[in-house]
Amino acid sequence: MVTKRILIIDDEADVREIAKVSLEITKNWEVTTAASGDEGAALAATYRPDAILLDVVMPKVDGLATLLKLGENIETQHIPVILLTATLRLATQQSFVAAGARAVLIKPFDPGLLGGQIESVLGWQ
Amino acid sequence: MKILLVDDDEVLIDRLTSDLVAQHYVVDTTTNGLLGWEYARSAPYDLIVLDIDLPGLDGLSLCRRLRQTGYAGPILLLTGRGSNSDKVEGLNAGADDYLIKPYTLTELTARLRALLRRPTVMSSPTLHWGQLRCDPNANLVTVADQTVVLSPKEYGLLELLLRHPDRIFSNTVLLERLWSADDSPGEETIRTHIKRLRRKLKQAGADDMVENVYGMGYRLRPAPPAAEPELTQPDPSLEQAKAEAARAAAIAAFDQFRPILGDRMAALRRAAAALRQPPLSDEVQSMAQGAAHKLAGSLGLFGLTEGSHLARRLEDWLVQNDAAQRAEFIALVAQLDAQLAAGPREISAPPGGSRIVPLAVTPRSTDTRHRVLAIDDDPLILAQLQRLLPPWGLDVVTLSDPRQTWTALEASPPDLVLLDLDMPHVRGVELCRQLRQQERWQTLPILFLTACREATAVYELYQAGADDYLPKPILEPELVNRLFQRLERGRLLQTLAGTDPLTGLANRRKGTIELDLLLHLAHRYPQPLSLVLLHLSPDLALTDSAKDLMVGLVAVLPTLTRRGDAIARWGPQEILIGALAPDWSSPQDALGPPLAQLLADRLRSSPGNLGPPLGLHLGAATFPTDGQTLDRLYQQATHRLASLG
Repeated sequence: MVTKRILIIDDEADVREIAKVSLEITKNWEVTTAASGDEGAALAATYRPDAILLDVVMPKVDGLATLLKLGENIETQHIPVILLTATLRLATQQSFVAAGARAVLIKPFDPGLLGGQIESVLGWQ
Repeated sequence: MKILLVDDDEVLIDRLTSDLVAQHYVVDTTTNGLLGWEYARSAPYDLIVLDIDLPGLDGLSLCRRLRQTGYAGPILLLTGRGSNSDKVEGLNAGADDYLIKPYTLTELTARLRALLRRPTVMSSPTLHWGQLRCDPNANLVTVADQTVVLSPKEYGLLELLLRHPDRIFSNTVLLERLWSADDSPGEETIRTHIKRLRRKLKQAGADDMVENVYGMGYRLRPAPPAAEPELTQPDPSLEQAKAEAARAAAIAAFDQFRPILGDRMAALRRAAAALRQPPLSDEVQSMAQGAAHKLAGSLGLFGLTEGSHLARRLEDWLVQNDAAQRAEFIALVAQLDAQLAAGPREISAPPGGSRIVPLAVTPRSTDTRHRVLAIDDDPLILAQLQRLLPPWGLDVVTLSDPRQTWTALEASPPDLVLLDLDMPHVRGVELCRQLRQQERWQTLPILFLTACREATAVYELYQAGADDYLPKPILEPELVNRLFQRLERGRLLQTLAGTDPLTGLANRRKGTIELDLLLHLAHRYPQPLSLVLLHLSPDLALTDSAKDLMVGLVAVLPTLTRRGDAIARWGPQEILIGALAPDWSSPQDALGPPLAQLLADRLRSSPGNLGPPLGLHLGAATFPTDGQTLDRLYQQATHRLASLG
């Protein structure tokens, strides 16, 4: 089985860590994390992940700004992005759809199911 | 696969439908372009077949409209016209293919198959899952080369799941995809079909293929890896063990993150302290709101699902900031504090699991507003609904005491009801049952909002007549999508039923058909047709007294007309009557006095009515002298409206 590479961008250390551990244990995927939008967008261009989990509410560069940044870069614009959020207001949801996000994962997620859900929503099965 | 046929040639529709049904397609049919549009808006179709010359709305316009509103499935146009410019026009309108009459049924079904195959990404038309093969051309399912005999519905379910291996199908979606609009089986029927399908697949050796995603629906499990045939036995216990290991690792990490979680909790404690001794400063409130948001998103990761719910309620409270309810906030903070101090206990999957929502939501039109009656004793939920729904064209009437339901229903009849399961005084299930016992509310969409996900409770609410349920906490995309799904289905059912809910008369759609038929007879056997329009005032809105008058009219009209006359609720304030070769010489003389008497009686019985004055007007026109078409006759009748009494 081909191992997937995942980038998690979230300013909350606990969410980053649990998502990372969960994907490593259940799917044996390679996971890298970033604590801010700027760091994540830069890392995405070099790390070339198969998918990005992106937190919506972050200080300074938030999820939408990061998503737009990823979309502007030819190296990252094709990478599927799943948003991570505890709530999603529809006004912003339309902006995320327009910016190309593929799905929203509602926090808290079940660490036992996260990998399967990502596979399912991205058609990796 | 579900197909919509829109063609006014009923003979063709009948032949084509029976042929397609024999091939296990689910087929909806209509002979009218406008109804075709209504169908297409209300249910997902895998393919739409359109005739060009259609009453109501022509096929080319309908095709354009479907494409403009985002329908992405294949469209096949059927037509008697054969010039190149017609073909170009059809293809420019967004059709995928074009078939000129006369054609053979074999040719048509071959084209349909070709179109249905086109959007799939598979290189082979055969669908695979482990050792299972499904050949849609032959409707043949085999497991390890042994044929599995399936009923058409079981086959439809399997094909749908195989074609969309990454999708979860809710009962509602399955109903819309696999049953025609004329059938409206209960959710129990789906469970039965799934159960039978699973049993047959299990007997054939394809065990555990369909997964029940609790609270969401059904999906295909990942297929066993094909490259290693000797290891194809799925090992659910290994998957389960990995999932539990991941949850255990998360719980083990709890202590590592206790300080971060503790900081967030401290921000909430500060807000609670400030609320005990006001004021709550903007800074403390903002910090607390951020902390509640983060806790809502993180506590469940460590198995503290209840903690996440409490934090979400605290966040909602802080958004509303209702100082009068501050005791509630303080109590919630204390509860959350206790949860956090106790720490995680369980390794098992949290109830309801986690949710992932694909972002394929199309923006909804907000030009039509719908009214939603939300009944819940939790003021935070009601406030949340009032905040979330109005931008989507959904006006919310809230009710915290279920005992006032009947008054609220009468005061402003809703298009949909949202019900809480557990409420004081009247249980949500009981209220739902009572609503369903009344004919008027039998087709009203009812959705439950509930934090309870126990199978028995869910079963009970479906038994009581609920259409759907949504788990709390409310997720906005899910809520809005499910509400619109229900509203559209409810509207279609009512339109198809042809009955006006207030009066029980034919609605405008059914009335048009009946009046057109009378007009056709009047043409064919030269006879006069009298069209009588009754109009209630005031014009702005149908007041309660106007509704009473409308219902009174409906009671008296059968005594003033004959069997065979058409009577329809034409508009909010209009009743239209068609009488072929009527007995009366003048409808004003025949209907005017008794109706004026009815109006006078109504006005006398409610003299204290403070609303705008109630009035009744009558106008009439006769075929053929005043016009040849229904539109023209209606216009004439409108011009001649005169007050009664």
